[in-house]
Amino acid sequence: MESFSYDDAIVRMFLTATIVWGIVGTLAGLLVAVLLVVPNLFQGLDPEIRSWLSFGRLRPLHTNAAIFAFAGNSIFAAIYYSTQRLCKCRMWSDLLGRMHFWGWQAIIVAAAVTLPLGITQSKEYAELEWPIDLAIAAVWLGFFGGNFLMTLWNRRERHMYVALWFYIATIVTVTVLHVFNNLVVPIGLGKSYSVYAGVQDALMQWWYGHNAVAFFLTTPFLGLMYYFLPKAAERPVFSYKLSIIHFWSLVFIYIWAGPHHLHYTALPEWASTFGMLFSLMLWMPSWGGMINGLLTLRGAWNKVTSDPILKFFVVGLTFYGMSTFEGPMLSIKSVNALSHYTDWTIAHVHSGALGWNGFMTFGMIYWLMPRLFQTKLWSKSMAEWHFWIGTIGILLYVIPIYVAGITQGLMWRAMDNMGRLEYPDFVETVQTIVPYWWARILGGSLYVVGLGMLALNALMTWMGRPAKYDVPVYSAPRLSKIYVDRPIPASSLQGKPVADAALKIDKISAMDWHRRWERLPIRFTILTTIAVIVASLFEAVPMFLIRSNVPTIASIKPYTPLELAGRDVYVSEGCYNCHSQMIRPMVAETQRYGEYSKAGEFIYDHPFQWGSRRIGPDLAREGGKQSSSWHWSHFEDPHKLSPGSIMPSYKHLLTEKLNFNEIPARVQAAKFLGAPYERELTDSVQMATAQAEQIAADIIAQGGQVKYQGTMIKDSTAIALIAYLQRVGKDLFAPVEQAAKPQANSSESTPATGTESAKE
Amino acid sequence: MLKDVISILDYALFDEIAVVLFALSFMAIVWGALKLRPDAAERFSNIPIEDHVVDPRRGPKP
Repeated sequence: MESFSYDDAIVRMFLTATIVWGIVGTLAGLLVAVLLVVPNLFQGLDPEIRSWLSFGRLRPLHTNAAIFAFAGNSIFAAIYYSTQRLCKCRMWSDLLGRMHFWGWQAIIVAAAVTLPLGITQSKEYAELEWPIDLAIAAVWLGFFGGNFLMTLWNRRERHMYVALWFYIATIVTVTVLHVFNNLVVPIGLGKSYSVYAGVQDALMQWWYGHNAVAFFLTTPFLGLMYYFLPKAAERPVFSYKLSIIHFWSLVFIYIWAGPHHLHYTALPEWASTFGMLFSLMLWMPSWGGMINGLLTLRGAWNKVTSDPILKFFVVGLTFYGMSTFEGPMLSIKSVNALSHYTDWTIAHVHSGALGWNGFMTFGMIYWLMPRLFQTKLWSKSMAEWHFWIGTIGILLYVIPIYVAGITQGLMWRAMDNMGRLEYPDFVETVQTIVPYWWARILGGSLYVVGLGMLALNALMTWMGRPAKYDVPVYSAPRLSKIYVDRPIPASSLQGKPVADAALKIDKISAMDWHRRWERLPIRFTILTTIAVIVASLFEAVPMFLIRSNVPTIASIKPYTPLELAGRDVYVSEGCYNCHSQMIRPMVAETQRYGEYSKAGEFIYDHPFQWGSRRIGPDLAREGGKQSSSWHWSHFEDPHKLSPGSIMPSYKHLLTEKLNFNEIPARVQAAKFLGAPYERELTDSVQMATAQAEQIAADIIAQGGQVKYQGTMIKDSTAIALIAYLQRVGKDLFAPVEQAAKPQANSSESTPATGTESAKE
Repeated sequence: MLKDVISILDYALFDEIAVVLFALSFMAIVWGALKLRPDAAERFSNIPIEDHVVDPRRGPKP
C-alpha cells in the first residue's frame, strides 16, 4: 500500500480564478451590450482612450474572458479535483500545476491588455497574437497536458473512468486546433498574417471555432458532469455503456461539423453539406449524454427540490439539451439562411454558455466549496437565490434575442410585391431590435447579480475556513505492472462445429480490446489524437488540394501597400465584429449589397474578414459605393450621415498618424504568402504616400480640409482605411487588362471581367 | 512519387469515405459498448462514488 494526499490548494486557486474571471467576463459582456444601445457611452473621453473601449475591440475581450478565463479556469478546477480522485493519486507535479495556474492567468491578463489596444488576429475566439499563442501552447500542453498525462500514468485505479476520456480528448484536440489555426507569418511582436487565405482560412477558422465550442466548452464539461453529478446525486451514472457511445460519437462527429458556419458562403458546396450532415448527426449523441445525466438522478428527484447544486446541474443539462438540439437545427441550410449573421446565433451561444457552462460550473463550485474550504457553505439560501436569479436572467437574455434574431432575418429578406426590398435601409432593421437589446441588458444584469451572490457566498465561506486545512492521507496499492483481467466468458461457439474464423470474429467482437484501451492512457491518447487528425484531414485535404474549390479570377490583384495597411487598421479595430464581407447568393442579399461573393476574390485575404454577424451592413462590395469624403465624415460622426446608426465615432483614426515605415514589412510578409508584388517590394512607402496624397486630394476636392485637428489628413490612419474600403469587392468588375498590368503578356488570353476559371 | 499519388487521388470521394469511416467506427463503438459486461459497467460507473473523499472534516462516508 502507498500513502498519498491530494493537492487541493491548486483546485482552490482555479476555483477562485473562475469566480473572479466569471464576474469580469460577464461585466465585459454587459458593457458591450450597453454599447449597442448607447453607442456614445464614452463620448466624453479622449478619442484615443475611447478607441480602447469600442465595441469592436471589447467584444473579443468579452468572448475570450468568458471562454478561456471563466470556463477555462472552471474546467481546470474540475479536472484537478476529479482527476486526482479518479486516479487515486496526487497530481504528478505541484510545480507544473502552479506554473499552469499562473501561466494561464498571465495569458488572460495579456489578452485583456492587447485586445483593447487593437492587437488582434481577428479570427473569432483565436484573436490573440502569436506571442500569446506560443504561451498558450506551452502552458496548455507543456504544463497542463504534461502534468495530466503523467498523473494518468502514475494512477492507482486501473480503469480510466469516462470523465478522464473526455479530459484526454480536450487536451489533445485543443492542442491540434490551436496549433493549426494559429499558423502565421509574424511581422512584429503584435502583428502577423495567417498563412491561410480567404476560403481556406475560413474553413480552418471554423474548423477551429466550432471545435473550440466542442472541445473547450463541451467535452471537459461533460467530464465534469460525469464526475460531479454522480457525486452530488450520490448514485452512479445511469448508463456507463451510453457514456462510452457518447464519448466516441462526439469525438468522431464534432470535428467534421465546422463548415456549417459557412453555409451559402464562397465555401464549396460539398464542404458545407458535409458540415451540415455531421452536425445533424451530433444531435443524437448529445441528447444521449443529456439523458444519461438526467437519468442519473433516477430515484433522487426529491433531492432536486431542496438541493441548489442539483438544481444547477439539472438546468445546466437541460440547456445542454436545448443547445445541442438547436445547433444541428441551425446547421440545416434553409434554417441557416435565415439565422446566419443575425442575433439568433447570439441567443444560441448564450443559452449554451450561460445555461450549460455557467450552471454546470456553479453547481460544481457550490459542491466543492464546503469540501475545499472545509466548512459549511455560508448561505444555502443565497445559493438558491443565485439559482433562481440566474435562471430568470438567462431567460430574459435569450428570449428577446431570439425574437431580435428572427426579426432581423425576416426583415433582411422581406420583399414587396414588386420584388424590391421591403426594408432597404439597414439602419431601420437595427432600430427595430434595439428594444430587445435593452431587455437583454436586464437579463444579463440579473445573471451578473447572481455571480455576485456566488462571489459573496464564496468569500464568506472562505472566511469561515479552519486556521489550517486538514490534509487527509489515503492509501491505495500501486498498480501492478502485469494485469490479469477477469476471465472472459467462453465463446458460445466454443466446441461447436464452426470455422476457426468464426471463433476469431466472435473473440474480436467480445471487444475485450476496448477494455484494454480503457486502462492504457498513452494508447488511448494516441487513438483519440488519430481520430481527431484523420477526421480533420478528410475535411482539409480536399479543401487545400482541389484547385476548383477556389477558382482563379483574372481581375483579382493584391492590395496596394496603403490598402494593405488600411486592411490592418480594419482588422485592428475589429470591424468584422459588426460587418460581414460575404454576400450570399440570395436575391435579398444581392439586391441589398450587390453581386454575391466568389471564392476567388479572397485569395490575398490573410486573414479572411467574412465575419459572422451583421450589426452593420455587409461591406463586401463597399468599394466605390461612397466617396472618400463620405467615409471621412462617417468615421468622424456616423450619425450625421446615417441617422439612427449605432456605429460609434472613430475620430481617433482621423488624428492618429499612419506609420508608413511599417508598410514594407507587411508587403514582404504578403509577398511571402503569395502576393505577386514587384515594385511594391522596393517602393512600398513611396507608393503608399502617393496613394494617400491622391485620396486626401479627393477628400479636399469634395469639400474636406487639408488638416484635421493638427494632423495632415494624408498622414492619417483613416486615409489608409479609406483606401482599403474603396478597394473592397471592386476587382471582380475591373477590366482584366488593367487589373493584370504586371502580367500584361498573359492578360490578353484571360477571360472577360469577373469570370471565374477553375484551373484543375 | 508522392506527387503522383496525390495527383491520382480522387478527393471528390473524401466526404463519402468519411461518412463510411464514421459509420464503421460508430458501429464498432456501439457494439463494443453493448458487449460491456454488466458487472464491469457497474464497477466502472461506481469509481467516482467510491473515492472515499467526501468531507475531510467529517472523514470518508461509511
